[in-house]
Amino acid sequence: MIAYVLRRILLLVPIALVVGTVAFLLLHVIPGDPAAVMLGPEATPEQVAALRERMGLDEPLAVQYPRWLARLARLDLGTSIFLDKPVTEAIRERVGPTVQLALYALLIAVAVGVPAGVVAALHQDRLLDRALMLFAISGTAIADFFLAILLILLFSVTLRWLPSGGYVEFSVDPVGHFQSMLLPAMALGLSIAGLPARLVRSTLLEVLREDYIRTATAKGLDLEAVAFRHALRNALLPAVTVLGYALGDLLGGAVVVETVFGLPGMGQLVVNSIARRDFPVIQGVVMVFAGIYLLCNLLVDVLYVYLDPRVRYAGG
Amino acid sequence: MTSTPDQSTGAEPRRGGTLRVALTGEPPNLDLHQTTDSIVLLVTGHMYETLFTWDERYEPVPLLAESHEVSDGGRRILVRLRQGVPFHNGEEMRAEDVIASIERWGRVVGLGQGLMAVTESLTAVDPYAVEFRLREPFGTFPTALSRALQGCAIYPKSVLDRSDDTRLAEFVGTGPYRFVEWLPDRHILLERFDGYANPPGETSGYAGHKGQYLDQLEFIPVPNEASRVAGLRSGNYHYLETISTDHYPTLKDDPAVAVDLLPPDAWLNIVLNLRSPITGDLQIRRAIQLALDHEPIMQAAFGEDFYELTPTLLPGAAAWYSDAGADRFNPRQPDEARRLLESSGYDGSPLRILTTQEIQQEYNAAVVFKQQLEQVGFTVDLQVYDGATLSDLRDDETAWEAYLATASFRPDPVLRNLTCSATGWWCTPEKDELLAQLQTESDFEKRVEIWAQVQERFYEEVPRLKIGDARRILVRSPKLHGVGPTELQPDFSNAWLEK
Repeated sequence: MIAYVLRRILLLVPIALVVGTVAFLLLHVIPGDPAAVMLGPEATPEQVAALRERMGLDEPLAVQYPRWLARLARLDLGTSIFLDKPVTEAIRERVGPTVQLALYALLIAVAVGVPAGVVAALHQDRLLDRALMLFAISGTAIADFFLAILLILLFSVTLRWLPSGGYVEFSVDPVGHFQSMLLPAMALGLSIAGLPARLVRSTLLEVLREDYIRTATAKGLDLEAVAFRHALRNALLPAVTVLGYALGDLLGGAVVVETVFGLPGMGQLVVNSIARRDFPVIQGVVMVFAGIYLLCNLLVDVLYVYLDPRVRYAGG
Repeated sequence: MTSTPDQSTGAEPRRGGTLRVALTGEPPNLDLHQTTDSIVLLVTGHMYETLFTWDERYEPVPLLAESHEVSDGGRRILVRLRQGVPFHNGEEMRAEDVIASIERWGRVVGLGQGLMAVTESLTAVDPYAVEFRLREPFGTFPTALSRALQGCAIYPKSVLDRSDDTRLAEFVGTGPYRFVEWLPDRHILLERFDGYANPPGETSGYAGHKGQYLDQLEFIPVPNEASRVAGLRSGNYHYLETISTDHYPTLKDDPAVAVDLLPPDAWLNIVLNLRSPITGDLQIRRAIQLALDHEPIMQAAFGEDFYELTPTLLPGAAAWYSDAGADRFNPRQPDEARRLLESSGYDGSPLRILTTQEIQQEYNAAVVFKQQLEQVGFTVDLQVYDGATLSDLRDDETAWEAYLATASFRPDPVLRNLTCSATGWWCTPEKDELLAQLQTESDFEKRVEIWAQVQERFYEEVPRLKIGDARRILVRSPKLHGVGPTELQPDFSNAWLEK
């Protein structure tokens, strides 16, 4: 087991290197440069060239790439062109809102999705089942920015219950914090809630057909008690692992939802950095996102081995 | 303290409150010298001041300057400074600060380079007076040193000593609001500067008395337009930077929103590349000019009620209005265009038009522009990019034949960059000579005449196509009053919020 985990961790290094190199090359072949963005729409080509030179942006790729690699080895992601601070610092400042958003969204997805799946399974093929599954599929199908705007129109513009955007830190004002995070978390959470809902429904249906369930119901226990006491625990296993993999969706969705709600997270940081061609920041966020994704996949795989003794990996 | 009753309500201004302004994005920096991006002027217009500014008739009047005297046939200009004007860091503004600021601006900004090119010496006569010795007259001196995008903000020398030509060490000015903090993607916060030295005279345009009623100005980046509008309707913001006129019908009946329809002050512009083998040919450019019907292009871009068709290149500045070249404006002669194109030897190479969907009205206009060109026999390659790519490609003379842009308000023609170095590369000696005269001449009537000649050449030589004037809508909370002029970005120095 330990050897297996170590081997998997070592494998992360070449994967991260490939991701980083591809991102680096892509960023440097696409047109657009920070000097032109900085100078605005009516700047002359001479002004842009002069600023590019002053900022040291005119160095060839062959100089920039090895330097980037050498820095990366020391976990130094360089300095942001616009924010005028180290990329690691810029990312550290933005991790908070994104992690909070992802966490709250995950909570909402589980809180809504798991009961919906259970109820649907217990009412299989009846109207309630159909309605819940339609709801689950709609949540997944509707683009999260559209859902976000619908939520704003309902809860901010019409009812005026919650703010339409902005971010309040938990340490400054806990109530304000949850008020500002509720709509974004709902937009993101509801868009992935369909995943646990459908998964719990189908695995629960499978489990409910198992012999031990039939025995339990034959002993006179009612179906709902059996479902909650015995079946659900077994049905949740695949849901947990799939939610781990869904983290990619969460991070991708966070980029969009943060932009709509103006949350100062990593998503907003990367979107703005792309618009202003702040290469070191884009590169840094790609590396961090890739790292999180790889670690989560690793964690899920390890959990699998741990939770289900039937799963054995070669050499494990 | 004097206070001006609000014209719309007649109510007395209320002191206090934080104004929340939703911006379309994050400014690239807070250095007015550095960028033509209007968002920077919107924020820093409250922090920094220039030697001169504009009154309500868009004539330059002193702001940090007290007066200026021109002598020696226009070759000597003495600027007297107001005394006792503090910077936000407590230092008093003096001649050395003004000289250091003008010198930096003269290295970084095109207009400043023009002024420095004719400047023999720039010296402090005493702590409150600077003297320019010029090789030739510079008639537009106060205009050049007035509020503008890339305007000559006066910074303390002590700050400039620690800065370089791309970066300011600190954001310190003399304006009515001082910089507090900038948390990227969260907000830029300014607060009332209690030590502000109010300029003499009644409020007029950007000039005169500043009420400083608001305690704080908070600028919040909200890139998503739907979020900006929702935020205003829910009372989260008081003012929106720019909003598409598409929202006008829904917003004008919403009691939670006040919408003002502004007179046209910007124009839709198709820039042609005079260094391209295709559009370098005057006959082909004329064919493009003749092919166009401006009405449908403007309708697609701005919608029915939000444009006007006039030939002036300075809409919003009535004193400069001219219909020189009007007979070539919106000619709608596709048959003539087709004939001209056939006789030009145009070989059917694609005309590359650059545009971006980030500015929806320019993209919409580009689509109609393409159709109209194809109808007279052009092959058109419409290339759609993101904003950063577009601004990069524009500088590459081999990459395009035309791109769409919106030319924003300018109170004076010398502030409209039509020089040979501007993208499109319109270089003819006669036009450059006229532009030089515009800069040196100080007599207003003569300058208007010279400008009309430039405009005439513009329509004759077709370096760009002026399609029409755009109206904007100003969207604010009904509780916000007293917003100053908006042509060179809104001024909140006299604005106030109802409780």
